[in-house]
Amino acid sequence: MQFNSWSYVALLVVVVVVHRFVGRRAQNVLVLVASYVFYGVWDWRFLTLLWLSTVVDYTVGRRIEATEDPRRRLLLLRVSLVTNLGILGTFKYLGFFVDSFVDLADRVGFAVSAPTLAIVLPVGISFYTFQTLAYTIDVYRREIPATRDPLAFAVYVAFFPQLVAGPIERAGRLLPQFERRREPPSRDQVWSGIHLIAQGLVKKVAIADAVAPFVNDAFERSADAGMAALTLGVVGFGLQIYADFSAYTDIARGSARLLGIELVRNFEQPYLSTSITDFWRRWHMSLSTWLRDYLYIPLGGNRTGHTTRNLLLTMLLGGLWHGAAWTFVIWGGLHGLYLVVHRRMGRGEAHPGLPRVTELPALVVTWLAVHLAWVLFRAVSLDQAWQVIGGIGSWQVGWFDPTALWVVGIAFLATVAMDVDLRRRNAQRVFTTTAPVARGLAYAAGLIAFVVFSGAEPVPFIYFQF
Amino acid sequence: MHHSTMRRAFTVLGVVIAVLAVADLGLRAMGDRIPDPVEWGSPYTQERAEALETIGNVDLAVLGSSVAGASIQADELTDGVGYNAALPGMAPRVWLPWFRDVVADADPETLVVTTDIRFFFDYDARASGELTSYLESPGRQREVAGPNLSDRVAEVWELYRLRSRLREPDRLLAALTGIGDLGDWRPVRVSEDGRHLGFAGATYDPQPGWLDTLAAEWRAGRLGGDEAAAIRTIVAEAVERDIDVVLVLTPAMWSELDDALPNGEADIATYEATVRAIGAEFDVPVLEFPQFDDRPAYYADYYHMNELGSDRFTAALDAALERMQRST
Repeated sequence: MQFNSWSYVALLVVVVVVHRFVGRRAQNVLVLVASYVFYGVWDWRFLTLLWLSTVVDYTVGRRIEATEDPRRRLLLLRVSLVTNLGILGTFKYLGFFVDSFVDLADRVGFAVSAPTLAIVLPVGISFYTFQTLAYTIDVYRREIPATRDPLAFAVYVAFFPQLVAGPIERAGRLLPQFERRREPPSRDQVWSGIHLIAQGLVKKVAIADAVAPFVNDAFERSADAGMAALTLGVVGFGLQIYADFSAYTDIARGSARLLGIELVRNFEQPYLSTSITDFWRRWHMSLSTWLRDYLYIPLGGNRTGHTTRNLLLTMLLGGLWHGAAWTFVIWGGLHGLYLVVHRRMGRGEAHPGLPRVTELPALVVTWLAVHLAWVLFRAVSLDQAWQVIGGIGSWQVGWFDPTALWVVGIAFLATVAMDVDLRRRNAQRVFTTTAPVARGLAYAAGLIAFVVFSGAEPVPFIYFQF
Repeated sequence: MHHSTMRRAFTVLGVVIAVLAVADLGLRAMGDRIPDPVEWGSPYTQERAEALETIGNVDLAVLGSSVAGASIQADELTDGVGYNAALPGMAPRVWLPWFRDVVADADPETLVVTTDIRFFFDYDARASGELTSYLESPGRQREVAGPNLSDRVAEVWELYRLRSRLREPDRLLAALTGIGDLGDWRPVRVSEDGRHLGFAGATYDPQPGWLDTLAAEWRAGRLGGDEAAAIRTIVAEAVERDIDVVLVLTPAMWSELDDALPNGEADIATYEATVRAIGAEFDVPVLEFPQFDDRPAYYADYYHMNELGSDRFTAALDAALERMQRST
């Protein structure tokens, strides 16, 4: 079920209305049923994986807490790790590793035949497996108590607004919200929830989906497109993926808020970052903090003298988390390299406000580096990525669709306007304190853009594939 | 809620409504400078669907691709109302639902079903896209199932109705200022009786590159499969509706085309034999005009006729139809 569909609106309205009038247990039953319906609409068979993760991690969490024997605690943790990473590995990476092995064997002169694996990727598998793993690890580390409420835990794993594309929540923050009765949200909460949903829908339809056809066209024709079309395609993709993913987060946070649940922030104007370290503190924050806490720091972080190795390994695995393809691995590796270089340069910490004029060169360099890496993220193959980079570097302007220039240009300005407003106020909802007339003009522009682009071919959220 | 908060909220709402109202009025004031959105999958299909709706019933209708669209002046073929309902660039698999949805509703007494070799080859990569585009087009959906909520909204809200056009700001600017390229916002060149005028002023100009494209299509295609079956179904359904059906094998520059065909003249023979077999099966006449084959003066390219070709071919077709009527 897509957020940008009438069926989701209907589901949300029913759940929000009924949720208001029932007790805690019934609230959780309602949200759990809604979550399974939401997920089962894609493919009900994959609910079994969700249930498996839920049962294993709930049971493991209880048993870890019940014992003081370190070896038994570690063994139980490994059960959770093997189960969740096993699900992820089988459904997401098995085909990739088999193909890569066959390819490698072929290159060194061994003809290896392997069956072609046509394994369907369950939607959101990377998100909920990381979320449940975090719970078990936190219990193992004695950072949180194991929950004694299986219903609340099941809702924590399957909570529909953030089930398929995050934010990846920590149990210590989200689980307690399901363990107590939620009071009906205040008028301000309802309004801000609706505002976030509307903001997300406008970003998705009027920015992400609007630029998508030009991005697709540029990458599909990368072999013979010129610099202008390819540059517009790459800039467009930077706008598309940011608008698309942050729109999903806005809608998830808005939907949850209508149920009295607060989800974490996932984006804080990443394209206004003045360094790559700053970028990763503002882009997909729930994943980057997950990787920091459960991978980078356990590897030794920056304390063991192996900071470079740890950064590269963390980012390579972060890339692989996105997708089972070498393009994602190299994308992650490139970001790892950026982080290493930035750390070696010993640049200072970024400050919270808008970048100063003197920081604009750093902002531009960061933006260029991120967009160079986006080429690898978006390309369907390494060959295509090199074609795009080579085409841009050719300095042959070539033909481009003037409509693309307009649409990408307007989307760029709209994104900058929204992000500057949000950064200035450290806010998540745009233009809420702007003067009423200016706010009315901004909202009207957003509504008109939404109407104009809502009739185009609907595009699924990009992060659903991860 | 505080008065000041309420006042701000109403101000915001008022500005939004005012902007939407101004936008709507502005679009209405622009009138014809923004063409109607394409709601039938292609501007030519739309032009013909709208024309047939305006005309109502016709005495004679023509079905075919751009080959028939360019060459036949339908009004010349009848004393009543004739309309050339050929669909440029579309294959018989699209003509079939087009016939069922629109052309049959015009209640023609005579249906001239033309065939040409390009669209006698199944070439799924092209035809399935065209078919889906036609079947899922809002115009066709409205024709078949009646207006939906979206159509109702479009009736009263100009911004909503013109939204697909507004996704092309560069075209909008060109339409308003006269600067820039209008692209596919240009009106289609179609006569009142539906003839495609795009080739009318041309002289024979063979394009070897185009021949290569055709050859690739034909190599990937299959002769006389689904496209032939669609023509057969059209004929069967038209006969069932008591429409007088005439099949026409359209002439072409065969001496150029046969090199591009996978089996050369053998394919041409198979194509003609298949059409004749359909005619024989339903006792429908099959008209052939070999005197127009390989006459460059009549053509704009390998099979589209120019003005001279259209005049002569329409006259020949008219004479053949009259002979048929006299003989019955």
